[in-house]
Amino acid sequence: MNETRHAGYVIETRGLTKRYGKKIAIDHLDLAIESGSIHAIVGANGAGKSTLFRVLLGFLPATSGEARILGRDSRRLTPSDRERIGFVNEEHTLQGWMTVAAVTAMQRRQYPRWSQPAFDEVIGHYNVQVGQKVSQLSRGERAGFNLALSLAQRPELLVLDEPTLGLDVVAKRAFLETLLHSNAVEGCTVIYCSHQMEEVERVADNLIIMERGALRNVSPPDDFRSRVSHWIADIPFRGPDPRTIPGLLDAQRIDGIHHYLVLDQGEEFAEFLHACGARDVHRLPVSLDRAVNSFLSKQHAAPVAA
Amino acid sequence: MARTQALPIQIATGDPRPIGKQIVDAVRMRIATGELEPGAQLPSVRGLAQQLTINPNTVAKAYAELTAEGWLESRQGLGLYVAPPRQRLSAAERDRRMDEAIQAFVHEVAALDYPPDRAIARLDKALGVLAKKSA
Amino acid sequence: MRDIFKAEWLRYRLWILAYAVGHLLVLAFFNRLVDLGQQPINVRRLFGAVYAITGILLGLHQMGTWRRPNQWINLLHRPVAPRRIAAGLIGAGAVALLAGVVLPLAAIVAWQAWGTPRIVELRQAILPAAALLIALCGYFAGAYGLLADRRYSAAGLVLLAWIAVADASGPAALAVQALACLWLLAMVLIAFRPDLGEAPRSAMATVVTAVPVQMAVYMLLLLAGFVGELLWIMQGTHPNNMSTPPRGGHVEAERMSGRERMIAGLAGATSTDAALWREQVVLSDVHELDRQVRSIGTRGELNNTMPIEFDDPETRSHWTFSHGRMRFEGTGLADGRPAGELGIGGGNVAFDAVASPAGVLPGIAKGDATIIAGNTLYQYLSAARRVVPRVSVPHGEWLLGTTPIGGSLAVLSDRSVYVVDGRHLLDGETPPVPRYRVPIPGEPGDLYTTELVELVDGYLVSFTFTQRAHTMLGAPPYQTVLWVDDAGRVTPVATHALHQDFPTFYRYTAWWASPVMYRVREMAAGLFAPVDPLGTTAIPPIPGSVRALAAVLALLSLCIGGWVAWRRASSLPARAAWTLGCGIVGIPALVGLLLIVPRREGIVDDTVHAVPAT
Repeated sequence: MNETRHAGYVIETRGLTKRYGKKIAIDHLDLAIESGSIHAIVGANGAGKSTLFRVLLGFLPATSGEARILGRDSRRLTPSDRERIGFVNEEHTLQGWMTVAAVTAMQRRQYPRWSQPAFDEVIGHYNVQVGQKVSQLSRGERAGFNLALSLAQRPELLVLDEPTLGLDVVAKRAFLETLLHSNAVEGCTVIYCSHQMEEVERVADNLIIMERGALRNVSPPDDFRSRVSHWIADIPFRGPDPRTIPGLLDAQRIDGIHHYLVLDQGEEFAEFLHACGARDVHRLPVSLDRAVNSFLSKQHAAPVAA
Repeated sequence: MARTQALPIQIATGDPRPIGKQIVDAVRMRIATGELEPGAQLPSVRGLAQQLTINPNTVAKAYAELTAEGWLESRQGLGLYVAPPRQRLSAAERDRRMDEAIQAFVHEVAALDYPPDRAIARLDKALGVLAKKSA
Repeated sequence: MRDIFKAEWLRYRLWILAYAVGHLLVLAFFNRLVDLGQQPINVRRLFGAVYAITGILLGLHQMGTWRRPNQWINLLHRPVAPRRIAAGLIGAGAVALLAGVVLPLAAIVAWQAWGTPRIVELRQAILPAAALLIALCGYFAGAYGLLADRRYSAAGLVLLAWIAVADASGPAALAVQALACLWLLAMVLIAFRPDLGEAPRSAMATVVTAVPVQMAVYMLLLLAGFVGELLWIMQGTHPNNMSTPPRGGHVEAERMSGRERMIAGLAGATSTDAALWREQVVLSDVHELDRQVRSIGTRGELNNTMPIEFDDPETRSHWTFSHGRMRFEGTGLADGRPAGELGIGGGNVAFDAVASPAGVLPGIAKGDATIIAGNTLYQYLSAARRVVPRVSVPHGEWLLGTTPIGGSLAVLSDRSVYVVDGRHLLDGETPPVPRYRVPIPGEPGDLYTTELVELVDGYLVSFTFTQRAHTMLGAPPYQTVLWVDDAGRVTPVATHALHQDFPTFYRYTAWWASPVMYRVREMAAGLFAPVDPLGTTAIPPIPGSVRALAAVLALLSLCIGGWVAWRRASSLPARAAWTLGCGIVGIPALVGLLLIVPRREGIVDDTVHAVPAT
C-alpha cells in the first residue's frame, strides 16, 4: 500500500466531476472534510449529494478527478476500509424478510469491531423487539435500528444520507437524540445530509452547501447565516435594477416596500440603497433556514415584480 | 454544594437568532431576573444539549461566551456556576451596547409605524421584570 | 458469506418449497402417463426450457431486488469482499435450484429405478444433473441480465442457446452444459461489483464478456435475416411459398410426385432406351424408397433420437431398448412385471448399435416387428420371442430403411441402394446376398429422395440431392437417374443440375455476417459431439462474391472499429486489440465494441463558478 494518506481529512475530492451524458452531477468539486464533529451537507434536489456519496463509496466511477475517503482512493476500497465507514440511506434499506435478531447477528459477525453495548444503547431508544421481522417495523423504528447497526460497527466515519426523510416528528426527534448523545458517536466523524434546516441547525458543527454539483459554502452554520442579511428599503418608484444589486439572493416587493436578501454585504449596502433613492433602510438578521434557502434558490429566483 | 439548577429554556429553530445566541440570551435573562441566583449550578454541556436536542458543541460555545462575559464561572472539575454579580462591562461599552439596543428597537418600532407613546408604555412594562429584581 | 447465504435462503425457502412440491406433482403425473426416461429431444427441450426459465426468473428476481442503488450499497458496503458476497447470493440461488428442480427430479428417477420395472441407466440417472446445469445457466443468465450494462446484459442467453443447439450427447452434453455454466458464472462474477454496469476492467474480463456479446450480436444479425425472410414470405416471392415454384428449381423438384420426378429426371436422357423407359415409367409403379431411420441414435444419449420402444400385442409385452445392455428389456403390458431380455438370435447377443423398431413388412406374422440396428434389419418373432437378422448391408454402412417392391425388398443405406430377393427373406436362416447394389452418387446429407421403378430389364433409380441446397453446406441441387440392368450393371442415364432457388448471398448469410463467428458457432455446436454419419454433405467452395462481401465488411468494421476504439478505449493495447478484433470478427466485434466500451464522459471545461466557495 503506497497510497498517501491525507491526515485529518475523512473525505477529500480534487477536481471531482461526474457527468451523466450531458448532465453534470458533480462539477469540479474540491472538497476536504476534516475528521471529527458533525458536518451537514445541504443542497437542493439534484445538487449532487447522493451522487457524491456513491462516488465516494466506490459505487459510481467518476468522470474525472479524485475522490478519497478515509485517505483511500474510492475506487479501491477494501473490505477493511468499508468496515470503518458507516452508511445510512434515506430508505433504511434492510433485509425486510429477516428478523431483527437475524440481521443483528449477521452484522455482528461481519463487523469485527462490533460493539454490543453501543447497539443496545441505541436500540434501547426504540421499541424494537428482536423477534420482529424488519418489514414489520415502522419507518421510525427501522431508522433507529439502522442507526443502531451503523453505530455498533464503530465506524470512524458515519455518512447519513437524509436519514430522517419521511419520519414523523417523534421518530425524527428520537433519531436526532440518538445521533447527538449516544456514546457510540464519540470519536466518529458524521456527515449528515439533509433537507431539514431545522435538523441542520441543531446538529451541525459545519455547514457544507452544494449546488449543481459544486461546493458553495463550508463554514459553521452561524457564520454562514451572518453572511446573509435582510434589508428592507422604502424606495419610491422602481427599485434598482436587480442585476446591479451586489450579492443579491432574493428580491421581493411587498406593498411597495422592497425586501432584499443579500450575501456578504456590510453597512455599505445601506449606502447603496440610499444612493438608489431609498428613504428608509433597515437591516434584519435572517434565520438559517431562510439564509440557506434563499442562497439555494438564487439561481431560479422569480423575476422582480415591477 | 449547590445542586444543578433546572434551566427551563426553549430554543427555536428557524429563528433569526442562532441557537447559541438564544441560549446566551435566555441564560442572561434568567440571571438578570434572578431566576438563576449566583452560585447556582448550570446543567452540563451534554445535559443541556440533550435537553434541547442540539449539538453539544453549540452549548459549549454558548457557555464559553457567557463565561467570557462574566455571567458564569467555571469551577475546575465541578461544572459551571452563576457568577457573583459584578460590573461585567466597562461604562463606555455599556453605553455603546445600550445605544445599539435602542437604535435597533427604534428602527423596529419605526418600521412598525407604532405610536411612540404606546411603545414606551409597553417597553416600560417589559423592563419591569428587571426592576423587580433590583428592587 | 455464510450469513448472506443463510439470509438469502431464508428469503426464498417458502417459494422454493412450493415450487418443489408443484414440480414433483407434475413429474409424478406425467411419469404415470408416459415413461419420462424415454423421451425425444423436443420433450426434453420443453423441460429444459422450463428449468432455464425457472433459473432466469430466480436470477432476475434476486438480482433485481438487490441491484437498486440503495439495496446494492447496503449489500456491498460491508467488510466482506464482493466475491464472497456474490458467493453467498449465488450459493443460495444454487441451493434453491437444487431443492426446487433437482430434488423432485431425482426423486422421480429414484421412483423409476426402484419402484417400477422401467429402465434407469446412466443416461437417465444424469438427467437431474443436466436439469441443474440448465437451471443454473438460466439463473446466471438472469442474474447477468440485471447486473451488467443493460445494453449487452442479455448476452448471457447466448450460452443457454448454446446448450439448446449443442450436438453433444450423453455425459458429453453435461460437459458442454458445465462449460456454459462456468462461463456464465465468470460473467456474473465480473459484473458483480460496486460500480454496476461499468465496462469490465481487465483484459481477461473483457474477453469473457466480449465473446458472448459478439456471438449475441451475430445471432441477432441472423435473426434480422430471418425477419427479412418472413417479409419475403409475406411478399409471396419466397420460393418455398410460391403457389408455383420457380421452374427447374430444387423446390419444384421436391414438390413433384415420384413419377413426375422420375419423368423429369429422364428428360435429359440420351440413351436409346430413354423413350421406352418414359413409357414404362408412366405405366409402372414408382416407388419412393422409405426411410425408417431419420437420424442415428448414439449410445448413452440423454434423449431418444429414434424410437426405441415397441409393443407386442400378441404376447402382451412391451419392449424398451436398454443402452446399458444393448438389448431390449421387456415388461408385461398387463401386469408391468419384467418380461425378460431380447438380444439377437438364440444367444441373446447384444446389438452393435442402438436399435429402433421399424414397423412391419408384408408377410410377417401378427405381433412380429422389424428392428433396424446399425447395418442390419432384424425381425422380432413374437411367437418365439427372438430377434433374427434378415437383411444386412456391408459393415460401415447404416441401414436406413426398406421398401417392399413386388417380390423384392429395396434397402436404403447411407451409401447405397440394394435390391434383395424377398421370397426367402423371412424364412431363411442367414440374410440373403443382395441382387443389386447401386451406390448413391452423392452424399447422404444431400439426398432428398430416392425413387425406384421396376423395368422389364432392370431398375431405374432416381436420386434427388436437394436436402440442404438452401444452405451453404448443401451440394448444389441436382438429380441423377441410373439404370441397373438384370446383370446388376449400373449405367448412368441422366444427371441434371437443378436451378438454385435461393440467392447466393441468402444462403451464405451465416458466413459473410462473420466468418469467424460462423466458425465459432459451428465449433461450439459440435463440441464433444459424435459424428453424424447421415449429416455429411458435399460442401461447395465459398463463392468469390461472398468472400469479397465478407472482406469488405471486415475492412469496414476494421476502419470504423479502429476509429471507435481510438476514441473510446483508454489504453493502447485495448485500442489495438479492439481494432484487430473488429478486423477479424467483423460486424459483431464492432457492435460489441460499441456496446461494451462506453463513450467517454466528456471532461467539463467551463470553470466558471457564480459564487466562489469560501
